[in-house]
Amino acid sequence: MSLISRLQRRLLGKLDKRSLISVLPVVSLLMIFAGIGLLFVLPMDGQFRRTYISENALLPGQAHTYFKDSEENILRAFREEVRMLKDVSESERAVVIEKWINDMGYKAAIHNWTFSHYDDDVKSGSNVYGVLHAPRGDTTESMIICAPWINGDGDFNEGGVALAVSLARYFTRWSVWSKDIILVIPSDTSYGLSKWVDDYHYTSMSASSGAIQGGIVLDFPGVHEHFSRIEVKYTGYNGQLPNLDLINTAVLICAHMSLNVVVHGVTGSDHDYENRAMTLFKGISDQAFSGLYKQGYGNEPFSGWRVDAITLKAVMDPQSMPFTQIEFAKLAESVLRSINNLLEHFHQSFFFYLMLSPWQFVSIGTYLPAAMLLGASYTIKGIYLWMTSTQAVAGQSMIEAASAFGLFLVVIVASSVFLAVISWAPSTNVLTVYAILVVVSAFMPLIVSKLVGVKPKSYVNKLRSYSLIYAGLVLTTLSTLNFSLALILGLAFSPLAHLLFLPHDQSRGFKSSIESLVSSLATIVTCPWVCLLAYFRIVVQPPTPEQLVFPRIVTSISIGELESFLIEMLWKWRALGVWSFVPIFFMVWMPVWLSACIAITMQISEKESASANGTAKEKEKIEENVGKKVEKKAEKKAEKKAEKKKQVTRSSMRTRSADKTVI
Amino acid sequence: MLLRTLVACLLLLQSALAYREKLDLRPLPRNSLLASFSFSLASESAPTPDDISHYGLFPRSVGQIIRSSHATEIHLRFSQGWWDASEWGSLPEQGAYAGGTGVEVWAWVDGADLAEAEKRWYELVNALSGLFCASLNFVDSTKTILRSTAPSLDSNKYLFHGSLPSESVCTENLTPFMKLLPCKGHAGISSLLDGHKIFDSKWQSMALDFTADCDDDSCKLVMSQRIDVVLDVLRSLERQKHSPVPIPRRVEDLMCDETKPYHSSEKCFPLPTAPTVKWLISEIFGKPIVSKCALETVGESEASELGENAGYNICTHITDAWSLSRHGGNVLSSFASKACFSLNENEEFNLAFDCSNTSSVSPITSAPVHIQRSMTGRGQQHGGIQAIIRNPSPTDPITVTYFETLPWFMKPYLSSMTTHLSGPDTLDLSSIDPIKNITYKPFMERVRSTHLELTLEIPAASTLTLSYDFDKTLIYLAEYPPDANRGFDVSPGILRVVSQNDEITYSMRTSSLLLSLPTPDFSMPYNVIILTSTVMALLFGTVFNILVRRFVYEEDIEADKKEKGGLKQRLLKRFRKDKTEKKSSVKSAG
Repeated sequence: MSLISRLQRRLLGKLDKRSLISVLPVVSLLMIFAGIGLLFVLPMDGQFRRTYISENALLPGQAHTYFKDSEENILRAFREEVRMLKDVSESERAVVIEKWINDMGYKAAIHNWTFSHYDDDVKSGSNVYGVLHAPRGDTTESMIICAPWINGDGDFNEGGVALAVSLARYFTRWSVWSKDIILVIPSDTSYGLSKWVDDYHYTSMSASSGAIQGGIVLDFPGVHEHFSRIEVKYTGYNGQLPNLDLINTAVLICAHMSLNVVVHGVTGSDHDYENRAMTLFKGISDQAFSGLYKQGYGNEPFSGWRVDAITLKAVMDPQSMPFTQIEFAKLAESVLRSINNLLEHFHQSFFFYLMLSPWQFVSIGTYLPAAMLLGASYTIKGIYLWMTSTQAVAGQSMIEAASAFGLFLVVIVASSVFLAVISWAPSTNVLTVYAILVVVSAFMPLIVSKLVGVKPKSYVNKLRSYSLIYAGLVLTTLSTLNFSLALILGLAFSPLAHLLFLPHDQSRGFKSSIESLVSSLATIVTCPWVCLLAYFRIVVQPPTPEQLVFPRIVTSISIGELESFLIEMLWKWRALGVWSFVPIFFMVWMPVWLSACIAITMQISEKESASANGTAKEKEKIEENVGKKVEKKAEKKAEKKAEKKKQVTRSSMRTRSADKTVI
Repeated sequence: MLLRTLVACLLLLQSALAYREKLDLRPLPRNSLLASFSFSLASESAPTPDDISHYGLFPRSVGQIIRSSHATEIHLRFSQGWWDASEWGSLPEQGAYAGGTGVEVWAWVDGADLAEAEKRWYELVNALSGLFCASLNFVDSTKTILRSTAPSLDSNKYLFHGSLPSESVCTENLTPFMKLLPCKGHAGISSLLDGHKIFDSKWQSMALDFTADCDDDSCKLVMSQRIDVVLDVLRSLERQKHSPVPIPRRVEDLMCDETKPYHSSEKCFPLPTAPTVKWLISEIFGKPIVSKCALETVGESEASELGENAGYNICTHITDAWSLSRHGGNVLSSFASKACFSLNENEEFNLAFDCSNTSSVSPITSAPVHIQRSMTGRGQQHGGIQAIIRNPSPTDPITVTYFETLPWFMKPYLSSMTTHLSGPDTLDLSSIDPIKNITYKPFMERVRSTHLELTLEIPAASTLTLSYDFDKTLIYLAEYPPDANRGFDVSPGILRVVSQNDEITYSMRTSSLLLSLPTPDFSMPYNVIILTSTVMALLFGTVFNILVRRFVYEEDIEADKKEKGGLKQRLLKRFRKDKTEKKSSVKSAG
């Protein structure tokens, strides 16, 4: 212990407190780079782990599969039937499927669902589902086999539905099931399926079973009977992931059957750093933007209900399609057999992980520091701003702190009003409401700073400090819930923490104009509205080469598509509870950005701030002197341990004299 | 000669003690078959139950348990599977012999006071646990419900009820069940009871009831055993003929809908189910009935009641679409709706069923009430239970009692209990309060579970939704079972339909529920132990150091060194000292 305290004394004794504070911004900036740098380290050899099956009960690939030979004749017939249903209305389709599975011995039912925002703004459809009561089970547990009519890419899932139905038929011949099998054919992969899952857990349904232990979603679009590879989709809403064991099971079974399997669409070898890094970054982007506006792949709606689910997607690459639909069916059968083997709910393996390839992953302990570093960098910058914002007039500090906090609260309240307004807005005039909010949020900082009037620099620093500490708090918390979102948000705000310069003396002309230019650029780049539009332009509606010129890139945006993009995002928040976009956008991003805008537009009383700085410096100096003296005294004390009692009395006298200097 | 006399004596003796065994076979829709085995016998009469010393065919082991535990009635149920009321109608015997998933036991126990009766109840369940190879010894105070008490002259009677929903019923429970039978599965209809077939069923329920049947001057012990099982005929046949695994059929054997336009040698749309089916009892149960159980006798009362049909062993309940052909045995009645047969000694019996239309089955009485119970809500803190009770009768309201036991780690809020009636528009349901009576005994942590009993009245053609919320509790680490992440089973609720004159006309169970409690990561305790041990070790080290070590100033040591010299010098000194001493001693010796 004494060794540590001596070391501390040695180190800190030489550094003065002021220089420690002055390195904080550098530390904060370095943390951002370190956080990003860590992401590039993760795919390096030795930084990740190979996946393994943690739950021994799963026994992946150990079960013999018998869905073959004549079963394919039946499957082909079902494909013909499903193809005929392509142009039929949803409720008619449901009736046909209901009859089929009823005849197989399932307890079938049609689930009509509606989501409504206002009376005229309704999403509705008909799901059809059936429960095969396990021959020897007692209806306490169940598992899901699901095939949506329309898959995540908007294609008609002919193969998936036919496979699910013929597998369901085949399953009735087994008596090994310990869990009920629920076959669900929802109208789509998001709203219909979500509503089904919600209703299954909250209301009475005419056919019901017990707790769902796991599930697979079959995605085999189009009329092909062959496919190129399997893609495992696993990211749920709000960044929730299924247990890694389930993914491992599917991947291992694919390997047993010599099927090609990929995650996040990266096909290259996992021996290459680039491929691993690519999978990692695609995984991060999928996790962060899951449920943003896209339909999803079908595994997402289960994520909030402690139901582990994955989507098995057959990818058709016209160049080579070596695998047959029967192999896909066998894969599904084998995965379900493994889930059926479970004695307990999935719990053994990881729930927080990033995949680098189907066989490699990084666990939370390794990757979390990246987002934590980013989050903490805001906290540190916030602390720095707080410590350098000492008030000149004694006693004013508290009042100023409270007043700046009040201003920050106003910003938060304004942002929540934005959120309430946008949630309430009818879909027909979402674009208008957005436009109004854009205008309001653009003028709000100007008006607020005018109203607040001329304030010392310390006041502005306190406001910035609050907003950065708020960002730090939110991001570090968020990083444990949705790592990728926290990471991306952390990067998105970073110019606000480091590239924002407050207006100085007018005398330093050139430097100050550069600084104000950088500041305004930073606020424009980090403006939530601008980022939203940029995301839309780059990802949702990518520009054609001739649209890449400046005015055209903005003018060629199709307003209709933008509107449907915005409406879809709001629907995802209202109906499916995807909080990773709308609430985060308004409750985290908006207040941080607004307070930064207020900070740079605010008029600063130069004189006071200068004097404030001056007094602060003096005060600090005094404190440092005292500190140094006390430290010196302590050192001496340690040295003089060998001396006898006389010295002890002397040093106590010294302390008294040191106290005097403080006074 | 002696042996023959003995056997004759025995037979004579047994004629007084009726032992009957019956099998009812009832095909159900979708190629299911309900087989109900029932066995009943009684001991000799004696003035009081304690005086019964001659058990005859009555199993002595059970008799002794009844005697030592002072129970007047014991009921045991082993069940598994799910009764599909929408297809199969009401439960056999109006649910009198059906139990909830797992094991259920209830008994009337005599005792001077509750404490004595309770002690006897725990003795009873422990004894039964050994006898039936079931974990009934885990029925402790938290799993026991005192349902009612009946005072009598010299002692009181207490009705205890316990259930183990997570117990899986298996052949180890069937074997002791068979051992209690006089023919022990070697002859008679019990020879059909094969664990592989019984437990490959869609639903099965084993019931054992022991009662002390006393009238004014005599008492006898009566035992009735029953197995009801719903078998999947097609699966059993496939198992018998091919293999237990669903090997794909040959293309020629597929039954295809040839009217489909795309029908070809590669595409086959399957027909719903085989419209015709042919099977033998021996194909379904694995073997024919070996012979009549020689110990069976027809009681006098039954003989007078049934007249010509007395002594039947097997009855079938079929329609005109079915035809029967028998091998061995005698025909007692041959109506299409109910054909009955008796067995002969030393003669195999087999029965062939040939059906032209499997959807034609003898009329099914629909269940008088339907119930569906489920958990609602998400998260690990709160939850809800929802029970939906439907009265299918279009004309008559029904009165039901709904009985639920909740483990103590589920903390229900009775205040949150809501009922919602929905039904035809002609009825004004808003003014009806369906709850007529509530019996509620709250839980006590780690001591007693919640006992909730409701009397409900449900109007005709209406559905009652009963729901309430509960809190989940954190329990001690040691209280988690080894498979904690599976969840905790909540016992099935018991629903009874009560007639006008308070008789139970129908009873049924809900399925059991899985309750997932907040479960720790079980490697956590290990981490905690490691961390605390490290802290303890550090603390101990520091304290020990301070206590044991002597602190001296460096100067003192220097001074001391100068005084005494270094280690080398000191050793040398000592060595020299020794040498000189030795020398001196040598000298002195010399």
